[in-house]
Amino acid sequence: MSRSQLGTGSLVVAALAVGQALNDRLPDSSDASRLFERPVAIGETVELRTGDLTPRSVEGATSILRSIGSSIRSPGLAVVVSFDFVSRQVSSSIRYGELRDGSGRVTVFGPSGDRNEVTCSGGPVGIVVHCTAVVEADPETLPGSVLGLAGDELDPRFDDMAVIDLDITAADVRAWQESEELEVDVYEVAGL
Amino acid sequence: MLGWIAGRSLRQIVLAVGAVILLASGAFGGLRQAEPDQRGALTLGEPRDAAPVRLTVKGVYWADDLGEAIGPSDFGRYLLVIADVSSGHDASLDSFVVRETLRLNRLDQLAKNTLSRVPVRSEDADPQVIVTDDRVRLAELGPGLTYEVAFIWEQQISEPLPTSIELQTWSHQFRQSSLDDQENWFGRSPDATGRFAVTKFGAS
Repeated sequence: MSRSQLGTGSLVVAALAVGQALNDRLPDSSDASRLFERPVAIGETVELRTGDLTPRSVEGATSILRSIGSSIRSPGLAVVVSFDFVSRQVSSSIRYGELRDGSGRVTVFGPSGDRNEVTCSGGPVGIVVHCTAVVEADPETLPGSVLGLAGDELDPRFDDMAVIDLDITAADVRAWQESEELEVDVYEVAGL
Repeated sequence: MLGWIAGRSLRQIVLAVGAVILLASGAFGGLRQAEPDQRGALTLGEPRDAAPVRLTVKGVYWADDLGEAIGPSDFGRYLLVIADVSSGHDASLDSFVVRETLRLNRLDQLAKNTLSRVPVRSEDADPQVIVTDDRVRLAELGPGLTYEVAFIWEQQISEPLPTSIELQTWSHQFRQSSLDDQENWFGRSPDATGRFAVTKFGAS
């Protein structure tokens, strides 16, 4: 093997090594595109890119009746989170939800799930809309759950996500398991 | 042949052997450990793990009309499988994963899905998946929850009513999409099959 062949081979190996080192050090694409999580507690307000979100209440039951007439009966518990949203620059919606339960398991849902559903279509800029998120969950791992809410259900990457501490206790879960059917107002513009 | 080999250098022989191994193994997925064949029998009342769904077939039925919420079939008749489903995955499953877990085999003239009413072979027909307790569609299968559901297909009435049906479960693999960086349960592969008697829904 000639010296020039040896040199060429060494350059190729060096280029591959540099490429591998760069690949190892650059952030993974799923990590780089993760949502910007904005923690918030019930009753507080968090500023998202598109507007202000205020979680109002957390309830639960084994069955719910929505104000639009449909009802679900859950083999676990249906958790209902009421929140207010005010669009800032343009009319915006909250269409993505994910419940992370106390054991780290995740349920992802959107605006048209029939059972799990976040209902928060864009209201006029500056006007409060009353929204709800309904998600079914395993009662055993509900304590310690948080709910993530973000704008786009199809591609929420790179955007803000409100992460709501639901503050659910084992006593809450027991009470919800024995409760009556819960009636849920799914969506309402304040003042209308 | 031996003379030709004897005339080659050691480097050429090593390269030739390597190329043969690469080409021969590549046709069967390379030199990775092959997954054992998991196909088996699907039986009534026995849980079956078709990754990532655990499914237990509880009955196979036909009906003209499913009453409140669903109504009569405008295509012909309903064929339905009542089953319990749950998930072993730590994240909720999209509806397509549950829908693709169960298929009917060797039947004809089924509606492709609820949107496209084109008649197709049963292997290509997507069922609706409805929770029996409240008759609401199962859009996500959440972790830790077990639902009794009806897998519902529609078949044209011109086809003879089957007295038994072969069901097949399909398992999925969790991997990255070949088109973008999203990860999901792509790539179906056949799992277990079983033949079940068909009775009229609600006749018992």
